[in-house]
Amino acid sequence: MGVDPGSRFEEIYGSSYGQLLGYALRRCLDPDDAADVVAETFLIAWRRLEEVPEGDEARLWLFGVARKVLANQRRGERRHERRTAALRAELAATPLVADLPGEDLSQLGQVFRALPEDDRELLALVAWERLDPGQIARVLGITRNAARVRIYRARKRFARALAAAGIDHSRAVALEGSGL
Amino acid sequence: MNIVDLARVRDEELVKEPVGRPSGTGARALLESIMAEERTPVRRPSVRRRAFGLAAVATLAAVLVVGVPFGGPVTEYANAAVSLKTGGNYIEVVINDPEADAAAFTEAFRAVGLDAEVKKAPVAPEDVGKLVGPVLPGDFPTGTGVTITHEDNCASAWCGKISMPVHYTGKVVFGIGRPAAPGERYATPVSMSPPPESDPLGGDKARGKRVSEVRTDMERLGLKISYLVMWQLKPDGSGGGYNVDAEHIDGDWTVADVRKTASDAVEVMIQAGPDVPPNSLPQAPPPPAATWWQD
Repeated sequence: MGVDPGSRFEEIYGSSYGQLLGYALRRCLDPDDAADVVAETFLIAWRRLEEVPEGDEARLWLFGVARKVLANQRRGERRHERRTAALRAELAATPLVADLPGEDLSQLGQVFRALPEDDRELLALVAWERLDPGQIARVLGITRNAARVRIYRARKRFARALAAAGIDHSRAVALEGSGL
Repeated sequence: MNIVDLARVRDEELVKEPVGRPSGTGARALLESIMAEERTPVRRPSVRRRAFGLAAVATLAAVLVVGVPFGGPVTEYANAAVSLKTGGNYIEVVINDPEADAAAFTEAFRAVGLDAEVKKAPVAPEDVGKLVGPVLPGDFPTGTGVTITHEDNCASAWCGKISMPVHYTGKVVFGIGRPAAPGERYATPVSMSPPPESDPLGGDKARGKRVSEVRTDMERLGLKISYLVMWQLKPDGSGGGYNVDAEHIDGDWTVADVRKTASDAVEVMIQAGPDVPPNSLPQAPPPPAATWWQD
């Protein structure tokens, strides 16, 4: 690799921090929890730096780790209180984050939340992180073809749920920035 | 409207704020904190433990200390508050005086090599004087855990064994139960069901009842009710769940447990039936996180 670990990690941190924070904030109701997910994910990356792939693949690897961190995060558990103190204070002082709405109570929001978790995450990776099936495959550690099939099925289930709720879904499932 | 609109924050908005950039104060502090960590976790006897052990031995008089030659952490330590004995992967704890100062407990745990703090934690009347926690605010080796086994046959206030990884060097915060103030959230919720075997008519036999029945009982007692819906996700019976608002709870669902969370509040735990798909209900905000260990 030829680059010292510190420089490499700083580079990964610099290029992925914002998107990883966004990823966590979109999935945690409490910004403090999101800060904890970011800290745990980057700490894992630091310890397993040799496993982190090069280039944009690093971001996808981090999303994959963050997904597992989120799944293991227990309610109210904060593993990194001290190292995220400044970040949490900054998040609390940022109106964009501090004044974030709670769960979306629209019909669409309710139908989306009622989807199986895996479907929700697949659709979110497409719509929120704007990943294509190949990138999603790398986040989830599956083949590109499997990712395509799962996204297709998740989208179908979402469309059916919207139809059952009486929502015109022609626009709802038009995922911005994706060819899906 | 589409799914994109459900995103609570978008990257392009976040990046306009200092907090969304790696150059922000919080981001820099986090980066520095992570890079200050050793990259390869090395399991070796901790020099810091030795320092704690010796410091405690040097400054305390009315204590029992059993150490190892040449400065290893002490293996037994007892003062008026607590007696501790360490083994391979565990610490035996006997709480002698729950009323003792938290500092006396802290001193003992540090003497046996833990970077520990002990604080008084608000608990239900039946848990006063018992060990609470521990809370591990630092990084914990993945794939390991802490279990506390309570010893029933105990002549002191509380006896038990804490099993945890050897050479754990992170911060550990233990609590000693103190009576919670009216309405103060308990550090450890107390199950109200099933009733104790010694008193089959006692307790609240809520397990297996319909939610509507339990709700009526709890409302009669003037208790605030929150709901936790659990799904059994794996064949081994383990699963997950989250808080759900009352409006989404069906009165015909079955109660798995009722836990008292404060003198005036209960949490009704519901085992979701097969007709409720996993994680299909809207999630309510979780209760406030415990803060006793930070105070």
